Amino acid sequence: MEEKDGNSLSRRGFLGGSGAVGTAALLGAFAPHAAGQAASSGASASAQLPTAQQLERDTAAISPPAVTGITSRPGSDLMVEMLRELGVEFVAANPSSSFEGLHESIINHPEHPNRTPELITALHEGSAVDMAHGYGKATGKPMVVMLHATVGLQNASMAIYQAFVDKTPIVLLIGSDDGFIQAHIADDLAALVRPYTKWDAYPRTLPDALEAIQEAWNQAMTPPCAPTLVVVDSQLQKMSAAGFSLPPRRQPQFPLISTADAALLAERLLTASNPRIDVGRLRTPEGVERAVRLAELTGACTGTRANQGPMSFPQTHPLCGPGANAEYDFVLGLELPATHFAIVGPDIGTLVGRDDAGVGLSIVRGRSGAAGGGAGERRTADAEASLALILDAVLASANAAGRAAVIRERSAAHAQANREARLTGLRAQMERRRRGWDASPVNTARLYAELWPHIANEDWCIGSQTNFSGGHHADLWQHDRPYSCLGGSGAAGIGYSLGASVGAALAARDNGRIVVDFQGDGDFNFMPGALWTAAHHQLPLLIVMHNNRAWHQELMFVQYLTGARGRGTDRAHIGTTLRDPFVDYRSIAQGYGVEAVGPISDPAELAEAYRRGVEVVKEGRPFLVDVLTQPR
Amino acid sequence: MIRNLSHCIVLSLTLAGTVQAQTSAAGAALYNQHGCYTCHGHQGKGTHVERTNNLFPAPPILLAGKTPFLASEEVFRAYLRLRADQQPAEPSVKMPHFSAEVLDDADVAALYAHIMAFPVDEPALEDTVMGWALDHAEKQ
Repeated sequence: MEEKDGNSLSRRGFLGGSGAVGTAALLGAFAPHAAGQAASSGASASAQLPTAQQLERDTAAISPPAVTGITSRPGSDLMVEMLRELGVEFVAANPSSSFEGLHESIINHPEHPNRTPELITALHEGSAVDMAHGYGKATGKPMVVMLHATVGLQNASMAIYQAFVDKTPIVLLIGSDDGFIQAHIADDLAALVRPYTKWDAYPRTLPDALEAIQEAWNQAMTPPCAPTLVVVDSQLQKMSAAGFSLPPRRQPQFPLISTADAALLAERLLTASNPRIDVGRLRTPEGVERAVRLAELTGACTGTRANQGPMSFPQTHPLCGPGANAEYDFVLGLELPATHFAIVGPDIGTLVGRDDAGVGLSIVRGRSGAAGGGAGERRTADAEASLALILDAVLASANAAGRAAVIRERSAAHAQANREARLTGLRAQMERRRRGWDASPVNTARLYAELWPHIANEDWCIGSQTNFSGGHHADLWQHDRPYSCLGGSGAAGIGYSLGASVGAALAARDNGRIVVDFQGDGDFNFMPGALWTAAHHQLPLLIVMHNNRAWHQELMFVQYLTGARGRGTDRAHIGTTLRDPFVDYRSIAQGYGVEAVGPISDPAELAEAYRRGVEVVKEGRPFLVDVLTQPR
Repeated sequence: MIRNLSHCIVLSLTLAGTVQAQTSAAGAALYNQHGCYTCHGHQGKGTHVERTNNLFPAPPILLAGKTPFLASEEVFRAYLRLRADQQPAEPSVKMPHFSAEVLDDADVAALYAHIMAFPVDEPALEDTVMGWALDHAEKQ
């Protein structure tokens, strides 16, 4: 090792030129990885067992090897400043030898120790990525996760896949140290997850690393939003940053519709006798604000997905609903197909070229790059960014004033009709859910309904997937904020909800918001350690256990097959249920430092448990209510 | 004579009640053992699934006088025995088939008695917390 303070030359001869590299050079260096371009670290590819000394250091409490030329301003400080410049609030990690430099810089940065970003301690790499997944959907911006080389990255791979399918921005920093444990080293770490990440880089110099982090953030933020990855060598983290500075900030570039299209859409919305806007999932709360503004300026009735996922139109906005007149003569789709004109951002299908390993993920191959359906014109562009152009065109149009009276009248009619439709629909949905109201175990409709009075007047967010517990909030609650409902896991993988809810709670912590996790018991047991993260970081998270003591979907599948084969349904519970013994979630929660009650099987006890839970959560502590439920 | 007759009636009713209770207890065990609850709920009230597909079935509730295949024990038995008995190509959550080897006639009778005893449980909206929620929505 030849590193010296004030200059840098790693053992692999990394370039140490000062100043930022040019953008053109950068793009050449960090273009999305293509087949056959694996970055070689120079490490031996032969398998080699770790030495006793290596194992001892990684598992025991002894000091890391001394670094010659300890620097007071390491490269990792600059990397942390880059993250701060990007607005990264949190970095989640399970500690590791390969990113100890970054770790130390986050917690000890001389100007902002452990603040923006703050280190979030995860008990499993999958949990860390799930947290970033939940945070990304709640805010629309990436959280950073640090992962340790081959082993940490592979632990996280399932969660990365889910975030990818769910088009959620995350920046992954993969620590690498090729002089340490051989089993943790690879020539091309990113290849382990390349088919389901959007972009990756393995920078060889500190300026390149800073540029790569910035580019990873920008790539994650632009559609198709997805996890991106930078391998950050430990030598770059530990080399001196003297003489280096942050590169200029480059803003993400979003694909836009043309100004001609924007003008056309403005005119069609303003002059249609009855326009409609169907709003899918935009990227950020700002996009939602723009959609609301456009609907209000044009008097267009709107459709929403706010009870199914984040960043859609407020459900109880007066212009949201079926409208006073369902004969729409112009329908615009925002991130949704539509009858007349749709603006839909590029989908993950556009990333099929990254599959140089030939994995052939069906979810990627099956998508052409734009959502299907809809007979009208379609533009592959980011709807949220394009909305700014449309709004400008609307405001500049003479028809905005000329049609003002018509728009006012139309808006009022829609508002009245939408309110009536909403209340009629709500009553109908409630009537259906009276069935089995007093049943024990608790029916899932009541699981949701009893919580509503305790949070209806709060700022709340559902961080978990809810489909396995009936998803009754979709019909019984009112989803008016961009983050009211964060939706499912993406790839229907199990183990997502708790970590994602912790991430949503990170986004909520300083905003007076409550996060609710309707937590399946099967899902919970994959990575329960996220409870400790919630307790440790004092997160406002209410966990409601949907405890049906089974992986119920699979129980039903096996049950049907046993019947079809005529061999008896009385053993379908084997391998599909959590019996003998039952799991004690209250004790588990308490063991992780989370207050808890239950198991509750009498529905009459729910209200008090929820009251207490919300009280605790509003004080900034997580709380778990274990509820024995009907299966679904 | 009348007294003896009344004693006989009481005894018969008592025995019938005992047999019915035993049948219902056996039916409850079968209902749980064979996983009827997995789709129909522990009290036959279904699963409250509103958006049904092959992952999320919306099975009929089990309610005497309302559910067609509960019209009689014979109809119920035929329903259990006549389910699609085929190898599903994909995972399915349809109603399973219950052959006579799996549930014999006595089992079916016990199961039927248990199901027919399920209570009606549908309180008025105003008597539930949903009444509050409706008021809350109307005030907005």
